[in-house]
Amino acid sequence: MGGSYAIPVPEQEKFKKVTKLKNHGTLIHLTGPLPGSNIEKGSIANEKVTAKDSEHSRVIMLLDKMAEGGEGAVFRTNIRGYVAKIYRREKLTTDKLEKLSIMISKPINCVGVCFPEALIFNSSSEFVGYLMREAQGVELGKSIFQPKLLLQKFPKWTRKDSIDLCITILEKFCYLNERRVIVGDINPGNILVKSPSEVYFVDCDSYQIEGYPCPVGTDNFTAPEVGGREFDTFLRTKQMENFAIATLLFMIMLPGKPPYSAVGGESPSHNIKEGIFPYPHKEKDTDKTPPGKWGFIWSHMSYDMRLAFFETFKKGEEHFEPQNRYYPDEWIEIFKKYRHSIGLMMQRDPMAMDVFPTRLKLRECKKCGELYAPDPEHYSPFCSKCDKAKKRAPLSNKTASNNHSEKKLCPFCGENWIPANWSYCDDCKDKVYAHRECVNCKKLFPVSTSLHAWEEKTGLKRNKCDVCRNTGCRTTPCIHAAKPSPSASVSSRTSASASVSVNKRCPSSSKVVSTSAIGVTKGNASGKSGSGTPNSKIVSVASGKISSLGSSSSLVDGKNAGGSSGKKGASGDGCGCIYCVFGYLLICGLTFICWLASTILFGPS
Amino acid sequence: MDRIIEFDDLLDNPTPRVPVVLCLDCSGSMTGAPIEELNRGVKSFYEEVYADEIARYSAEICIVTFGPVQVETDFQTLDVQPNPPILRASGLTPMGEAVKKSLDVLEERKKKYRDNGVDYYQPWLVLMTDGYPEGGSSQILDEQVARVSQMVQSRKLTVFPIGIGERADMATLQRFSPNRLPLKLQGLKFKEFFAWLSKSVSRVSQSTPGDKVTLDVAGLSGWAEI
Ligand SMILES: Nc1ncnc2c1ncn2[C@@H]1O[C@H](COP(=O)(O)OP(=O)(O)O)[C@@H](O)[C@H]1O
Ligand SMILES: [Mg+2]
Ligand SMILES: [Zn+2]
Ligand SMILES: [Zn+2]
Ligand SMILES: [Zn+2]
Ligand SMILES: [Zn+2]
Repeated sequence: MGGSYAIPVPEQEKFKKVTKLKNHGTLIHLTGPLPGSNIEKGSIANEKVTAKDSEHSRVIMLLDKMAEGGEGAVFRTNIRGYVAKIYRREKLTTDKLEKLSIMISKPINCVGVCFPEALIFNSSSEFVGYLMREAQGVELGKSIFQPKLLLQKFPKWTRKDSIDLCITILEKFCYLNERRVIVGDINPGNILVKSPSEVYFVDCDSYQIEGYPCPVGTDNFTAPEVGGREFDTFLRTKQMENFAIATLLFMIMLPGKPPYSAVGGESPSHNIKEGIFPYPHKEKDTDKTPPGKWGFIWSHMSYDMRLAFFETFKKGEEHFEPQNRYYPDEWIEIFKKYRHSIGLMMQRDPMAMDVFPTRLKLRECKKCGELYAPDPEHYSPFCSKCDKAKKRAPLSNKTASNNHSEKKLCPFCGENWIPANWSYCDDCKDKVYAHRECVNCKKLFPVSTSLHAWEEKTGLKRNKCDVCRNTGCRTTPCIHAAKPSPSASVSSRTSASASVSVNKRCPSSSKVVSTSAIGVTKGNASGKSGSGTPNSKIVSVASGKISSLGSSSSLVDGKNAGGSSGKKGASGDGCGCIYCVFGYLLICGLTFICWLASTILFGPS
Repeated sequence: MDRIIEFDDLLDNPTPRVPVVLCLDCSGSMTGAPIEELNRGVKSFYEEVYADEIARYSAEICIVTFGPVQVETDFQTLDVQPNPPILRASGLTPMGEAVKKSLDVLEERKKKYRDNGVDYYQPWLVLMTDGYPEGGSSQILDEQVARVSQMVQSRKLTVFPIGIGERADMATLQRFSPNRLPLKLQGLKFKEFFAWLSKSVSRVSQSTPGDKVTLDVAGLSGWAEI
């Protein structure tokens, strides 16, 4: 499950599915030299070594020692764009050699993932390291995760950049997870950022493949079900990976703040175990939110973004249990939707895209309608003027609080209270909910919030743009329609998105449901929510195919809403296919008959 | 765009903290070369921690001196306070009172962390002396020995008791070090000691609170008499 691509990955390109942990190997005692072992960081080794992949063998030069880590040193080489990691003596083991041999046997080719591509041998033909692509940029831990360094190294960084960075990183996780690579030790030192769209993953030799575990890890990124086990004694699951990914995303959006750092002094690992997530959602207030800018940053995120984090990290919520955690492709859709809503959010609050907002998100006063900055210390649905007036008239105060029982927050803006049977507030009912790719012409078309609400009610899904709906032919996809642009097709491959008919977990029932581009969600979806609630996750992917992650609320008791929304379409200004020609002839024919009839009935004037 | 954003280090710095108390004997006997070397060592410690982009935001250093017990600088990251205080030698050696002050200040700081949702590592106490406790209450000394052992046993504190020179009271330092032998500085190798300390701080600051970090025992030989 998880990442699904427009082009499925052939089985032979994936690492094998293995459930049994490999035994520890033994130390390899070098008889020959350890290349570059006697030089300082920064100086030049100028030593010959042999690089071998599954097909070729080639002598290369180690140049300057660029960096040192816990396991070895990294050298520039005479092959442009490639660097070599040479292990320390005590890290050279038989299991590492086996693992790397398997790693280089698969065509892992994902921009920015510095995966081992060849083994490196010393002059006595002994294994000493591996060759990989050179990374650029600065470690997350020394940039994005420290507000001051973030502004120092990326002075123009905005929240949109954080969103884009998350998407860039998620696409790499999709690629890797799809091939059964588990990153495992997600660590701010092993992801380098050059720009929001250019990111490098290093230390890939520690990734888990087949029976070889990722032997290291840190508390903050460790899922509760690991339960204190040593990292080299078990194989991580995709669900554990999903926990680490969620943590990473949170720490990018709230620069450097781990999701489980809470007021009260319990350690993050305690809070992870107990699912104590200190950020509020809806009216569920919490006194555990760390003070400072964190609550402000949180408040400015889109409703769906907050909901996704809240439900992932808080015990008892919908996505907390390991099997219900979001997969990277699902996160991508959430982030892309967030990105689509930037314009609207900026209109509503000019601080929406600040990485470090200095106040809470503006709210609309429930009495006078003015926007006001809420006081973090004192929750009130009214601006300070109306709030004072309310206090003088306690009776109306009572009705205001009563409202909450039969009202809900508008799921689009998360700001306005609306009657429970409405889908969206007046402000939001005609806004663009998402963009979706037309199955016919491949162009993006807007899905309005009201269309979305209708889809939620009916279980149907519109998959063609208005133009194609009125003119298109009946083949899907239309073989005559303009091909998507090359850039779009590239990103639709890397941006993991559901293609026609893939299986996904239904987020609310956690049963597998089938979704398809033609848009009918099948399966047993215990629709817990009314139409248009934020739980419905029909989201668009900018350049990918359509995917419906959510269960439509009207699909209860396993009934299939059926229908074939994609197969309608009148004839039109055709592309020349047989249907279009037929349609055209039909219209011509009808016109002729009408003309004939009118001539006969009324006679020439 | 105007990027002048005010950051309150305690609240807005998300990096987990390594609180480090340097509890330093600056009694009259340290006058001359010892205090000069100590100042040089502390200065290079500050420089090295500052140079590490993670430790700069992670290590919070507090310096308590005795002679008269004095908090020279309260817990702060080097991003906020990059300059070390200049230490002067004078007075007696009230070690018990100095340790008490150190741990009290530490408790206050830990409370601030807890109240503000700031993660922190097990705190470090570096206790350095060149002589015997003198001019303080022996009851307070005993109380602090018990307090330190209790904190060490419950993994709430890491202590480095270090003797300077021939006259250092290694027996009292031993009482403050329930788990390992106190170390003795080779000559006046303060600089080497603080270089080791800053590397150790850096290593801890790159891990996550709660993770086990082993001390660089091999590096001890650079400054300690074994
Ligand atoms: N492909 C690469 N290109 C450039 N620098 C790299 C590359 N891989 C690693 N490095 C640098 O070397 C350091 C150590 O590498 P890493 O693989 O993380 O070693 P270790 O596992 O020993 O910590 C990294 O932090 C990074 O700065
Ligand atoms: Mg590393
Ligand atoms: Zn008002
Ligand atoms: Zn609304
Ligand atoms: Zn179209
Ligand atoms: Zn056609």
